[in-house]
Amino acid sequence: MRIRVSDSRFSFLLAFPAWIYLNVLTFAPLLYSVFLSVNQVQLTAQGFAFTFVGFDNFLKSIADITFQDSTRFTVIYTIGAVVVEFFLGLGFALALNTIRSPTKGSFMKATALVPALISPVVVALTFTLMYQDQYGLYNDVLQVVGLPRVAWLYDPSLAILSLIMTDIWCATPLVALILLAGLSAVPQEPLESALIDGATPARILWNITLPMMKPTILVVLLMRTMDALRTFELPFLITGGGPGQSTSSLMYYAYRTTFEYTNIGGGAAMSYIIVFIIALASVAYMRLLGREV
Amino acid sequence: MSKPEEQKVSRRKYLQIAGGTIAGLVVGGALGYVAKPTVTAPLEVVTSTVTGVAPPPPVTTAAAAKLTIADYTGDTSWPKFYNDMPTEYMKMHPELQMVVDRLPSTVFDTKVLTALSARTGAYDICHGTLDMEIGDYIAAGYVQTVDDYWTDQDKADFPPSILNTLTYKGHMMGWPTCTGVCFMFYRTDLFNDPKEKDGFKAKYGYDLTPPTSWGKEPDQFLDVAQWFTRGDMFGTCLPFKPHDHTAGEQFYNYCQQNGGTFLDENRKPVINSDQNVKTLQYLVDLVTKYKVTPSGVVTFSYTEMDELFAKGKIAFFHEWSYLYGVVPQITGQTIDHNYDIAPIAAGPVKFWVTPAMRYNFIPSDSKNIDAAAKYLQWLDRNKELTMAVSYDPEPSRLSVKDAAIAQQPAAKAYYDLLYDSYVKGGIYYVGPRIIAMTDIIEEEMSAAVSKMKTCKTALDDAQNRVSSLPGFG
Repeated sequence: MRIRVSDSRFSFLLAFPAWIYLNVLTFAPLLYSVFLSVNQVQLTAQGFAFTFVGFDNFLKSIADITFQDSTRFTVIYTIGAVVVEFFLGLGFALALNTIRSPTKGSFMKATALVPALISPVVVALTFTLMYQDQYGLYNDVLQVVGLPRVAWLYDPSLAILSLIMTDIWCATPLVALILLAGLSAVPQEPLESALIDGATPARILWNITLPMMKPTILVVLLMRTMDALRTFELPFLITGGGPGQSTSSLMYYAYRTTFEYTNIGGGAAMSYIIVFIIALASVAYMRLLGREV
Repeated sequence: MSKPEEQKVSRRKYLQIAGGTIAGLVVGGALGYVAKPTVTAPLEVVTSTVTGVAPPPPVTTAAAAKLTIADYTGDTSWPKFYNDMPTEYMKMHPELQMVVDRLPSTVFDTKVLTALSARTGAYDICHGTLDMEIGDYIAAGYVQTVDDYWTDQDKADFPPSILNTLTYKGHMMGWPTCTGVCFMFYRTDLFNDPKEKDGFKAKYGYDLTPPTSWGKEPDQFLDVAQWFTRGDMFGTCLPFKPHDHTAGEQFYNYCQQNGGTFLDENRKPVINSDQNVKTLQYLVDLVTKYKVTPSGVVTFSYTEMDELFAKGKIAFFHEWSYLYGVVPQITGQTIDHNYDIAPIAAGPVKFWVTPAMRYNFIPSDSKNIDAAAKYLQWLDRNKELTMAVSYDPEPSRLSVKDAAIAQQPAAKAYYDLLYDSYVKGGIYYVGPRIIAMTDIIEEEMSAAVSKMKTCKTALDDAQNRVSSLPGFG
């Protein structure tokens, strides 16, 4: 007996075992973490002991002052980093777009990728040394020009600023390259027509170029926002979340809750709250920018 | 419109392909399971060979084929010791294979916790810095009690404070990795300089010596720190970095010296006692009011303080005893051997110092508990002198002290101070959530020194936060 199978179904059948495998690896841990988040988990010699607590872990996390402080820091960090990275990256992309020589263009693009290629751990440790109060590079430069030393890492406000500046150094070149790709895809005819009609470059940028780049801008903002909301390495390595809890990010606090306080259920609950926040941000971006994409 | 072309696959063919794939996976998995290595070594009689200590009764045990050791790649020399010793032991026990898994310090605790909670027996021995985390592991039953491997003679060879760090609810939980206590390290070129001595005496009316007390009248600690704070040099240095456990353990010493503590005998937090608030205020004032420490202390752990001392930026400070042999090796150091040690300054109420708590322990899910215990027993009984002389001079056995001095007469003052300090203090806490408590205290300390909160508010918040953790009060 022969079965008539369409192309798509046949393809699905062949891919089905791999689909099962991937879903087991992805969804099984997700489901398990959901299970952990609604349980109080205790470490015992026989393995984990679970006590169902419903949404208690979630409510306790939201009520936790340190979690609130971490949320506040993460939001400030995200807004500060993403906004500056976008505008700096856009400027850099516009500048790169004016380079006509392929060799120079390739060289500039390759150089721009270097910060993105360096391990975040290396970046964090290097910047920690540069921010040092007594023997850091930045304060040495300030002293040379006659300015006073700055408490980069031990003043709460400056500590946040220091982390944002480090993130900007890491991510701006990558943002620029993605925006450059979007710029390259903008058709030239409308721009030339606008020039002929007497539009200024600023007008062209605002009214023609940027609207045409909306899909690219959406991708960049979404990507950077998700990354910034999940930031972990910089607070972990540079400030340890201090001074106080002023630079403790959500991911860092969730990590400490799980692995240092062995509050596994609480850490899982925090992770899902972070997922919810990221989802909210994504929906907001899609509504603001995605409608016309 | 023509119909899309369809692929014709017979049911039999599809079932053949899918069935063959599944059968292949099952057969492959079964072969892999059967082929995995198993312990096949014959029975072996093991005896003790320790000099000066009565050997335990001989035991007969199945010799393990393989011991896996989780080792911490710290920046001191004792990790090298714990990598060299398996090689020597394997020469004595050729049937044994010992594998050292060197874990970076930043992931050691996380990886060991993951392995312990997975209950797969991944590690047979853990060396490391699990001084505060160990309480959670012990309470969870992850740590094997080793009472059978500790004789009375062994116990008598340790100062009580060190033995207490290895004991939980009356059971021995391991062996010391290396211990040590905090000393005061001070610059001999400064403290022995006649001009400095004369100037100090003229100003303060008493002799210049490494301060023996703080918080009393006269406040030697503050006076000496202020005297040496000039130019780009500071009198002293304090750690306030959160989540590093440096600040917490130092603060605990100061609190005890001022008559305070963190937990009462029922594990009820008493962090915001008047004594502790005064102690924190004293330390914060050193940084913010008198400015006798570098201003970036909220980012300082031992590494930063060691570097500043070695580069001549600090006149004296409290640090662990391991630093005694390490200063000349610090990159960029300028003070050479112009430093010495003294007991840490005593507080207004008493002298107190906490020995380090680092364990060599055996996970309870190890499949080679006996072999692992025999190795650690051999290590502790036979090699502590080797470690002290060649690797890291922080032994804890009383019988090792004279032997170490005999081999290193120049270090007599060091060993005298080390062992004297062991008997004059007590342990930190062993139990669940101690690391969480310490983290919280350190966060609030850094908030106080950064002027985000007053010392009273900071410790009140620490009290409330710790009290809300399970298992306290």
